[in-house]
Amino acid sequence: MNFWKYIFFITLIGVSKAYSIEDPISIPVDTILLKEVEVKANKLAHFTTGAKMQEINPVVINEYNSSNLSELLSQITSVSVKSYGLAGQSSISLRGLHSKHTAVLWNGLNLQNTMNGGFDMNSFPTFFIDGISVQHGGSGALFGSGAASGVIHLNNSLKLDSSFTFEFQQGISSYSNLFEGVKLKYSNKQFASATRAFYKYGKNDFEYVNTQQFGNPTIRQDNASSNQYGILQSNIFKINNSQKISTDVLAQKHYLEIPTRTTGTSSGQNQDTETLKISTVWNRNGEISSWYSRFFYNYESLVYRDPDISLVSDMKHFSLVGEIENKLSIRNYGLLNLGLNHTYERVNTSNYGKIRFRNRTSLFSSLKLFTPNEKLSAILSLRNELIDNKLAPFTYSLSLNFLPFDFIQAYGNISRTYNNPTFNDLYWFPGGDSSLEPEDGWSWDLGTKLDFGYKRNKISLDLTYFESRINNHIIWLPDITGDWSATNIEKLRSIGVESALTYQHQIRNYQFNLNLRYTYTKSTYEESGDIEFESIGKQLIYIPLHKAYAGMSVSYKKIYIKFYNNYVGERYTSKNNSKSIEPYLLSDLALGTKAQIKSSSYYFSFKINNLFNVQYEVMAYYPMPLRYYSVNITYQLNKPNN
Amino acid sequence: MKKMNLKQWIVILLSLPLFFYACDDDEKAKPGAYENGAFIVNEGNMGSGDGSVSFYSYKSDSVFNNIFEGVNGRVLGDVVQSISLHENNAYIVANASNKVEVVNATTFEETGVIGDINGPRYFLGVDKNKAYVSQWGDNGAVKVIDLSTLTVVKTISTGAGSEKMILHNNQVYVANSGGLINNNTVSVIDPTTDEVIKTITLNGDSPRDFVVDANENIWVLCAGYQDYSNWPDIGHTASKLITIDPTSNEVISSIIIGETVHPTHLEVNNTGDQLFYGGGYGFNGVYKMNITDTDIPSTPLINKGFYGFNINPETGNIFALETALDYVSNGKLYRYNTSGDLLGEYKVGVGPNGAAFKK
Repeated sequence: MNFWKYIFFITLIGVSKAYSIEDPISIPVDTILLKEVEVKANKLAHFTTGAKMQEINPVVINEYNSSNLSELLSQITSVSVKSYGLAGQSSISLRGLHSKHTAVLWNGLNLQNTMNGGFDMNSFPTFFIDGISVQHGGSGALFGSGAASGVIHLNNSLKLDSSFTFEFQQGISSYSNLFEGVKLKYSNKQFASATRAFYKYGKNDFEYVNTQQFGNPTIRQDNASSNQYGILQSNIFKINNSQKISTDVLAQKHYLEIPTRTTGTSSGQNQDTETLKISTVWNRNGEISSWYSRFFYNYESLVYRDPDISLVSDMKHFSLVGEIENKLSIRNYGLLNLGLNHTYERVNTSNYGKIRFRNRTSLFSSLKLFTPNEKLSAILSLRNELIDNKLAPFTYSLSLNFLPFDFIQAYGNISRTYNNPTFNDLYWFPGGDSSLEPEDGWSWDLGTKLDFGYKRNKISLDLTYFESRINNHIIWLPDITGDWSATNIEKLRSIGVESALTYQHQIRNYQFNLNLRYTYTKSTYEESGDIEFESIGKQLIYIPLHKAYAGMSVSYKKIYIKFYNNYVGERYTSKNNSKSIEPYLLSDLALGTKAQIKSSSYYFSFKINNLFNVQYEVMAYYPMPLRYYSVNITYQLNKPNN
Repeated sequence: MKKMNLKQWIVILLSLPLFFYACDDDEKAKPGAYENGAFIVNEGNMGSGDGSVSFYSYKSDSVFNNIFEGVNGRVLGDVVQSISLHENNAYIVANASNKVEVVNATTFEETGVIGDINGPRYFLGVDKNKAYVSQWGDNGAVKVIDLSTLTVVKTISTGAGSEKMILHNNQVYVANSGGLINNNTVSVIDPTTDEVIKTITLNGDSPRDFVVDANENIWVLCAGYQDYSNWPDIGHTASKLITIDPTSNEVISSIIIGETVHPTHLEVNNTGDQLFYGGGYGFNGVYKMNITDTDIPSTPLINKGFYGFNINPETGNIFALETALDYVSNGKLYRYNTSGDLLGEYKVGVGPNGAAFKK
């Protein structure tokens, strides 16, 4: 794709692709992702113009099959990550707020936990994902509660009438980590099926010097293993030329131990999670009017055990989502989207006293207007949600995207956001408060992207300024009688700058790529009612002021070498900023090659993680491994349809 | 304490990836000897490593914070519950880290660690070579420690939520507070055989603290407990002061403090004729009474809520400790004289709950 086509492509799909991570050797996957995704994620495909979006190349996603999603996001995007050890629970947040303020959507459907608003990124296997779009900034009007400072879109794509594919992947890395994955894709003109299954095990028993214990002993990490397996079955049925039904069924079991902290003795804590997700989308595509109807069932059961205090806690929750959307084309200058969503959430845990449920109905609409060549486009989105007969804050957003010249793009977005109280905040006993209001806030950004091409060189530069605010932030505080309870009391504010530079150079069989990224995030506790806490004006915990990334890759014919460097600045671990953990710079080096014999392809890669043996912590007192190694092999058989 | 564990639950269970509270103080440790002052134990928050020990010096009338980390370059661990001085050492109990850190009580340099305990609460030096550590784990127990090797040599089953201990009349009394459930017993251990010789059932719930008065009688503070089973309605059992005869190990008398209030600290003056109670989550005031009183005082000596307090055995001054409302900001030490007049106010660490006095 040449430069001009590239620019055209950007304008056509109407997404400000801030930067895409190019890759020298591609495992053939469905590349025109958005086209396929739009069936499932109409709003992402058509109504996010003006939002800053980072697309992650499917090839890169594939590289992380034997590690995990949070590692992928922490290494190559600007999200902040909190992970409890190598395979431990991991949550992410964008633009300096909490993880409950970043929505995680799977094929357009929200995966955030009803109980705590979080989402364990390591519970979702990258092997089940075809595309990731990281949307920076809030968009409550489009994506509802939770999308206050960003959205992570995880998408699956499947095509009719494409090749038969069989794929087997195996990954082995240090500390007894094993990954096995099988993928089978079959399709004809009427029907497509993709079956994926994986098994993943890790002991993660690395050695480290424990500087928090008497005598600084060398300790082998214990209680850090994980065991995960699952299956994803995706299908498309073509009813006629305009109608399709697409289904995804995901079932998974995940056993996870909570790693021992450097300050303590073996924790013995562990949890078992069982998940079933069923998503069905019916789509009727018309020249003018298109319909989308979605149904989503999301079930999760979690058993948490803490042998130290003889605790076994059992929680079950499920949600049902029904959504219908209509997209109207208004001649050649507009799109109008109108939709209705109903979500039923239900949680069963002894911690709430009884079974709790919630009904939410929302009405949403987006209007996109653009000049014929899409040099200028604007989107206005509105949403109103009724939560158990109580109105949530009315949210709206306005986005603009402007391409005055082919090499320059300017974009801006302003959005009101909201965040429904989690069930824990509402119903945990003691302390939950069922009268809590949703958190409300707003978020805006302004950015520009420049693209230059000269002979075999391609440079792009992206710069964004952002601000996000949350009012009525819910926190837990003790009252005068010493009872802890949830209250809408805190205000948060986050401002910052995101910058990225990518450079590509190609001569004959050589290709060179450089990706540089820097993010500055100043996020503070602004106010806690009338109380003068020491945290006021201080940086939010676990949000680094500085985060930077430098990635380089060189490829020659079918061999490549990659060098990733990721810097994470000092992070405070206490709200009054008196405790912090050290910054770290982590480097990974990867080598890979590919061989093809007829319709069979063989891929081999070798990776050195933490090349310079850096001792670091992502979460305070959770040790991370020193240098370790991973090997991945993939066999792929491709047979085009006749 | 009971509330702390409720918070641990909350932190662990419902918000693993979401929010972590934390805090501490940057002031460096005082170089040299820790003498003529009081060690203040600051619980800190679960998972944040901000539990610490502060030192108040009589001479300089000031507080030096975070002295363990300052001297030893590492943190104490999670939820620092108590500090006890025995022989030449200080024994610091890190509850959620399942250990007791041992330091030289004068230099505060680390000398060892006691492990193999489950949810430790308090340390009691029995003699030069032996100590007891109470724990909540294993349904409440006392671990017998060989101080020369710092190893556990025996586990004595006591009762749920084994808390403070006192050595009197060559018997060790253990308050079985209930921990996460409820209990109303005191275990009596013979320290020569390390066996429970009697379990005294009290007519009060959640025994927490002991003192010995001038008549050699033992006073037990029963905090009572809050019953959350009908949340949002909170039920209560009364807090009481109960007297035990250490010869017969029978209950002599009991006084109700309040039906819905739950003080957790009991102290006695150096002549053994005046009792002070108060402290604990949500309890307002420090109250003073004579051991001969049959009713509790109607007004507090100090009208302020504290998380814990102790009395300097030499001067009789009251060291009262206040946590910040958010449990994240640093807490405060207030010094009062025996009449309840404020002598000074100092910043300490997060969640201060008690003091140990050092000559």
